[in-house]
Amino acid sequence: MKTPRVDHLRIFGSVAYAKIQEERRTKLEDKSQKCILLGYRQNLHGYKLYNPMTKKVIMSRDVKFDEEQEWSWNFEDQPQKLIVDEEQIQKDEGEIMLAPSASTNSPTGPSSSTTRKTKSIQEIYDVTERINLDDVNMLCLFSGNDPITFEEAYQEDRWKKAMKEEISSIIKNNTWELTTLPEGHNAVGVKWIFKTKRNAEGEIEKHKAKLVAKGYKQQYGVDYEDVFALVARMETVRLMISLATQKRWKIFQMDVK
Amino acid sequence: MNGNLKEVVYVEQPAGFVVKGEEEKVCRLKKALYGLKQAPRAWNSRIDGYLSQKGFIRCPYEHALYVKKSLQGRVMFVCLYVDDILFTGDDPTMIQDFKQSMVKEFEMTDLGLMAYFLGLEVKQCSDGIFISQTKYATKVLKKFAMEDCCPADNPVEYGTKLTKEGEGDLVNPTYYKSIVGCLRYLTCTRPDILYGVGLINRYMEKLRSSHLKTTKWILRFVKGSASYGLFYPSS
Repeated sequence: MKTPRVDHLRIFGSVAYAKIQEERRTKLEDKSQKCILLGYRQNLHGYKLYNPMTKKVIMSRDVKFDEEQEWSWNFEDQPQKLIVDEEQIQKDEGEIMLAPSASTNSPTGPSSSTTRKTKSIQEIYDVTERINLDDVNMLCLFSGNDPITFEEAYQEDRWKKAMKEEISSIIKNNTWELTTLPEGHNAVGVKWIFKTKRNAEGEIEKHKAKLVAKGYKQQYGVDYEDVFALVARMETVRLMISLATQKRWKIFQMDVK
Repeated sequence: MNGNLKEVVYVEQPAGFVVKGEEEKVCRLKKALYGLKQAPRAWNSRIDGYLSQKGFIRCPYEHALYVKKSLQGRVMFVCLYVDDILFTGDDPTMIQDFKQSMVKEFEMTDLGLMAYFLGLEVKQCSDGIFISQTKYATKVLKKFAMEDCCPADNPVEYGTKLTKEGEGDLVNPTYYKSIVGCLRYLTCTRPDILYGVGLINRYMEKLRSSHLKTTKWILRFVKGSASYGLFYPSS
């Protein structure tokens, strides 16, 4: 078996610089935007990043990471602080001449907000605050948060309620009866699946719990024989549309809940 | 959508809902549970049985299509796609009765006029029916990170000649094949890309960047024409 590649993995929460495509910027604009690493794109190469300045989550493949750094929240929350008056600049320029190494080691990296390099390292330490735990928790909200295991879901009332609904619908449908397992038979396992249903606006509509059977444990000939279900070919669907138009009929649609 | 099971299947009691004092017992299924191998089949048998009982005749060549002829010579067509159903006919009362019986028997939801079915967008108006796959096309472009690509004017670049050997570096075959698969589904309402898709379809081995380039060219064409579709005029 091939070993999965892990060389794209980066430290969660580290500072990332996502390249802005040339077509998307003018010559004088920033070549990259500074973000925080949230995770990885599903099924595709690339990273999921959060830009606290624009408050947007972006996907990008062309990213450079600074894993040594964390986002300095306090500093970025108040961008007005960055407007340095001329006097200050002059003063700082003097400092740079005196201590050039201090400015190049600027801990926030070469982002737009710090390209002026007008602050001494001590000043930057003064305005920078370590990322606090609440903010990290806030970041976690951006990743998918449906519980995976029963134990996880059982902690929360909304999922408990969803499970109760599913069980009562199973009982109402007369899906099963309780018996003792006869010798020579295997019981197929069941598993809870939890899903948050969202509407078109992305608002949470309902929490849904579904009980599914672990069909992969079934044995052919013992637990099941026929498996196929018929589906219509696309040509049939188109034929129906064509027939309906010719005859000026309307086509209706229904689905099962 | 739980069909009746003909096999004897036992499942464990679900976590959190084990009956007290009966922990050793298991559940014998009478109806299929989602996830069982035979669940779709059981559902199909159930709905097939119901439609036959209602006087529908299954088409011998396309088993998902059912036709019913009433005594007055009115007809109705029903098309199944697992749990989605489409139907049409010349008698509004017959259609209404059918709807009501399906809602009652299978707890179906009436979606009204067919508007969105398997990625197919359908617009039914007085002078005909228009079908397109705009949403699907946009989704495909997004999936392959081509949503901001530069649109091409034609589905295949003039003078494109593909060979078995191809040119350039080898490309990820899974990636290539998944694009081809998506494009094939898109041909459903897009006969204009059919030639190009047929062309890239011939190559499935030792894929090189020349093959991928042709594939992406079609995607770029789709980008500029995502809202195209088929119009069936009534006259």
